[in-house]
Amino acid sequence: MKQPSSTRVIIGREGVDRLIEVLLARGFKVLGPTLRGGAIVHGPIATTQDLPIGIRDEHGPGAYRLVPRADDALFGFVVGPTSPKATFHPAETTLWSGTADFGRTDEAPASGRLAFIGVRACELAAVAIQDRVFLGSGPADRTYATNRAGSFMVAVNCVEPGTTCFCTSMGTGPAARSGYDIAMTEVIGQGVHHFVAEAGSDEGRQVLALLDGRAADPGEVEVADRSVETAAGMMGRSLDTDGIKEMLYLAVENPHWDEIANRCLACANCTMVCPTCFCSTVDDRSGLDGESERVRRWDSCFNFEFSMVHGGPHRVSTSSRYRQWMTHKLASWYDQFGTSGCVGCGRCITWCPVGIDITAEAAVFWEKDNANA
Amino acid sequence: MPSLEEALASHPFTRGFTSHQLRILAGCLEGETTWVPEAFLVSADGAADHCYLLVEGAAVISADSPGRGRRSIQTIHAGDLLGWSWLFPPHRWAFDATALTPTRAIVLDAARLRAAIDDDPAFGLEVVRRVGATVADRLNATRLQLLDLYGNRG
Amino acid sequence: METAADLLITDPMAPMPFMVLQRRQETHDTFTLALEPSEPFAFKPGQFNMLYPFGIGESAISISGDPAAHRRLVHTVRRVGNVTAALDRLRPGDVVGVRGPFGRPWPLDEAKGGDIVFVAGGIGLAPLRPAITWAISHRDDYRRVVVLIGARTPGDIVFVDEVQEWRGHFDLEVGVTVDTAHQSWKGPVGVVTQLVSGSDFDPADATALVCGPEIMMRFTAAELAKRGVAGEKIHVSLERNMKCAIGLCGHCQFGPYFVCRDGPVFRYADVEKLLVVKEV
Repeated sequence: MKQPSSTRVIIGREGVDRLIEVLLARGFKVLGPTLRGGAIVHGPIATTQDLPIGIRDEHGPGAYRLVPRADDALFGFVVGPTSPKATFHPAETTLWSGTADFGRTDEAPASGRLAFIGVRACELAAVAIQDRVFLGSGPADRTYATNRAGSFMVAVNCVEPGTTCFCTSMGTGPAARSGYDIAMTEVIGQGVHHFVAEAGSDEGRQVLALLDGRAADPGEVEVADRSVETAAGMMGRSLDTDGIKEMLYLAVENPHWDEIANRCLACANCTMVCPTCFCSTVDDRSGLDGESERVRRWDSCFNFEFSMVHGGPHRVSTSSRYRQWMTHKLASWYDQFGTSGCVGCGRCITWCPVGIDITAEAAVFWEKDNANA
Repeated sequence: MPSLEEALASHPFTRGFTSHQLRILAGCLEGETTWVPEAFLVSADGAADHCYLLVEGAAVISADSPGRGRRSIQTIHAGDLLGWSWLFPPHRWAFDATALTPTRAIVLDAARLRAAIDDDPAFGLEVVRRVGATVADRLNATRLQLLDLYGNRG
Repeated sequence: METAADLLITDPMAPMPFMVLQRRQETHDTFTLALEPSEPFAFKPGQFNMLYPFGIGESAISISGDPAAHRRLVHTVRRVGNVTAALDRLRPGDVVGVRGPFGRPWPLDEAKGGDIVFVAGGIGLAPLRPAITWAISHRDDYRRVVVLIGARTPGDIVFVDEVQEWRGHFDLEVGVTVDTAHQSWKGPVGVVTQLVSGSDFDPADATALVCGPEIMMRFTAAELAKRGVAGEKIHVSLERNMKCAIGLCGHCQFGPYFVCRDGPVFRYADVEKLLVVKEV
């Protein structure tokens, strides 16, 4: 919920540097967007110099590139192929290791507080979704629980959506509404470059107070909030979620799945970049020293062996695997966890090598559903 | 001790028959037969000139092969119709049926029954419907057996 | 020192070492292992464990023993792949890792007061045996108790000694049919659905627990429905790929259900439509 203007604070770029310093001093490992290999990916942040300053990302179906901006915005981009998922739910984690007498040789996951700078509203929503998966009603996931405990989130509200973004359709952005300790809107232009920040938690309030900010005046707040509202109206894509669960359940035998399968490579990119996909498998790795390790690693419902039963996979066709992914993401997730599994970040569209667009496919299913009604 | 007509009227095969249709069927009655265990009810390639409605006991449908003896296909029980070869040319039984327990059946004359089917289409439809249902049931069961579901790849 | 029950909460992915007490060959590819748990192990009929032969991998195996015997954990395994082949090599004295118990059990409480009909196909008898054992030892809770078993051949009937023992009870109806048999077999030949149509239970007040290959369960459920048993009172046990057994790896999903957590026992009415959609 938007705080009254009296609690909104203005900090400058040096304030952001101070923020990172304060977090480091408190023993946090600080992560944020960094430039690496032609993409913006999460990495360690020591100062604002580590951020992709003055860089904008251009997204399209199966297309991503970075271009220089006309200004020095610290957060002038949206999302990259990584998300907080890669940190809280790492691609590989040791579940157990031991010797043949079952003497345990692994250690409990290292605990240490993590801080993320520059998380988008959609990413916060994705973290909340994964919290429900890993810390929900069943047994909690040890690794996730350890990584997530005491984490500190500094959100950045989006003022320029990417072309593949559709967070407004999923109710997850562009303004961060919850799940953050501090949220900021970067205001740049016309000789101004500052951040309008607010706290979302007690610790956020404590940290914010240490940043030598000044109270924002209503005009400054108005400019910041308006830019975020404008962004909300600029989404290039939309997805109609009203009744989508029932619609997709009914579409289970729709021939359109086969049509998508003609294009889909089952490469699993979408599941890797999706900030909510959580499927994993367990590898058994044995060493010559007699120790065996059980390692969990990311898996994908697109993988051929994913559904192996009785010597063969249950979902053989690409059609059935795409159907599983999209139906899970947009429909079954409601029954399993009470919300949609999609946050509208657009990564699956950007990183699909053949540019399959989940919003376009949903629209086709809606059209066919309406035609049958 | 129920009369033959009463036994016929209460057999599952005649469920839903009108009294008129029951009369026509009873007109084809030849009597009742019993078999001791291991006795043949019918033999493969024998003339299928009777329609048997089992009222008691159990019998096994089987085929015989040299060196392997009797190979069981399916068992049938009280309340079942024994086969349909009496209805379709060449009116010869395709398989053996052997009693497993003391078995008793109502016997109908096949020739008379076929004539009655031709004479009265409404009656004929009811008979052929029920025979069809039996064939469908046995075929589905056979298909499941054929799938060898409990074999290595269930 | 954490107990198995503690671990299930704090570290549900850690295997507990249990020792093999006994091994018995059931049929040419099926065997039963009796394990000694490190402390009393309680489970509900229909639940399963993840068995971990050290260094090889895990396999989800239904518990097939007496639920009242907390110091003897029994699993019946069919050798189909690497992990089950490794389980096949275990001998008394060997140690195997166990995680569990997991899953939704057979609704034995719900079935009280009425007839209870067990229909087992092939190795499907293994997950049903604990429920049958329970029903027999709580015989007064049920009216008619019916056990219908289908097997490939007489030589493939699992727990054949116990099945004979069940036949000896005057208050149990036991039917066994085989797909193919020799001349020496005087019993029924045909699919287990035919035993359903020939059985004496009261469809209006019966709960049916069905387990076997999926095709067999579908046809059996159809036959039960034909007899008048409501879809809500027919229960089946499903099988899907499992890596974690705690609803977090995603492999066992079947429509919106996690078979490890929402199943493996399902109300037929809840899964009927999904079962006929290919590759769902």
